[in-house]
Amino acid sequence: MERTPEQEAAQEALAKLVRQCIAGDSQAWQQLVASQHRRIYAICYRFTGSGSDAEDLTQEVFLKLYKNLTSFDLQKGSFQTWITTLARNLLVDHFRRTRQDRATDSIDASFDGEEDGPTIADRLADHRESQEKHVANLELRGRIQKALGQLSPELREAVILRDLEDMDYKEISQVLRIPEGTVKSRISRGRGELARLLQRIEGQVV
Amino acid sequence: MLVDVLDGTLSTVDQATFDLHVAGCPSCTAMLADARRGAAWLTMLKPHRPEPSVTLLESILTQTSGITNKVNEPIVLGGSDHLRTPNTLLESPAWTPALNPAATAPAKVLPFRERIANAFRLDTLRHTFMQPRLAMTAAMAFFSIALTLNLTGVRLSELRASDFKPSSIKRTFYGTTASVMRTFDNMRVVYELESRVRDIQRASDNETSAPSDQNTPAPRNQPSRDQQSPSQKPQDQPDNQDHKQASPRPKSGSSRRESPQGHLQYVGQLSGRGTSPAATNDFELFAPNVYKQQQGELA
Repeated sequence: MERTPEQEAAQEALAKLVRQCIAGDSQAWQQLVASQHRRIYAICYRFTGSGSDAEDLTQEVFLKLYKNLTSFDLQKGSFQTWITTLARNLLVDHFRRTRQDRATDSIDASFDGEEDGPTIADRLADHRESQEKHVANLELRGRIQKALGQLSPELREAVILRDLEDMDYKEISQVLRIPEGTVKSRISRGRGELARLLQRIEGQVV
Repeated sequence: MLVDVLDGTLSTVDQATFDLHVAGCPSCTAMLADARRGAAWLTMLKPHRPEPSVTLLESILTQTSGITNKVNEPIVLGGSDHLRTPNTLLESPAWTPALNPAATAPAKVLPFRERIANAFRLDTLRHTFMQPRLAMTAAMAFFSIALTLNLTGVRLSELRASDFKPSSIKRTFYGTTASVMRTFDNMRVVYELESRVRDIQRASDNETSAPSDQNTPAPRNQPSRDQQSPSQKPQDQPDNQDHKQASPRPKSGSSRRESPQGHLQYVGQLSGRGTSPAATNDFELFAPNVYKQQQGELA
């Protein structure tokens, strides 16, 4: 997949920002954090399904980035790939750490505590049509997120990076350190698994 | 290949081959449908990117903007933040703004080397060692050493270089040991117990061996310089014993010198019983050093 000129320009601007950070420019560091923290938070949130965990992990990613920024070599690869690899490694560590604590409840469970799901205020709101639709959409996104959390971490990370973060296969293969063919295979399997998990609610939506 | 089919990146030839295969393969058809539906679900999720809280950016910048902010503000890590304890240092960290010139600049990024160098600065070390637990440990160590030196009689003000020679250390060691032993022997309780044990042992020995000993009157009195008559023995024996007791004994010499009362009491006890040779014999059993020394003198 070829990059558009806009993407190329963005990559070049990011590389310049990183060079300034390595030189010790504090303003550049603030800009770098401001431009990247949402993306890293989104990846962490989609992988963990928890807002607080995602915030903690995002902070960890940037702390690690801050400590190791001088070791980053712009010639070897893009900064985007590097920071995503950092985040992915921390997510895998987090997954291993919390393996015992995780409850494998079904996707029909309630979505209490989900930042993305409907809040109590949403549920208690008046039942106008638009409001109902909004709540239904919130609930649907909560279910998709829940189903995503039920995928195996290998499939989950591949699907998130491809379908939610729009990374190309080459970048994903660099982040996950697997061949491009394996990346594609995992993405296909992940999508299929997700569809099967969400099959029960499919009739209600479509 | 499924991914490429969904992306539409297959060549026309490959696409034709794939379509031909899918037409006769239900499992591949199902897989393709699932993958397509899964991609559709994710497309629904994609536009709604989760947004972090507004404090996340500030937290990251606070943690990565130098030491100044780290000391004054707690690091926000999440839900367990309220469990953090307040600063318990003995002195206020007034030094921190001047600690790192780079950190005092507004949100200046600290290079890694500067942070390492700061860890070894005098102010940082003082800051580390002024924690209450370390200060308490140092105070207790000082107290223990001072108490030990005081008990062993070592005075730091009187120490000289010559005191650290091996011979001096050895002499000090033996001097301290003798001092401790003297103190122990001078204790009235010890002396009372010793004499009591002697009394009991003498009494039991009297009962068992008195008849046989009476037949052989005190052989060690025979070689005395002034030949005394047997009738004089009872009066002389206590004095003789007294003399033996007063002669140097390895551990109790000073006790005789410093506690005459106990000594007199001891003589009094002997005077009642010293009439029999057996009693004399028994007593001398408890003073082997004296006996040996006396024998040596006689020889």
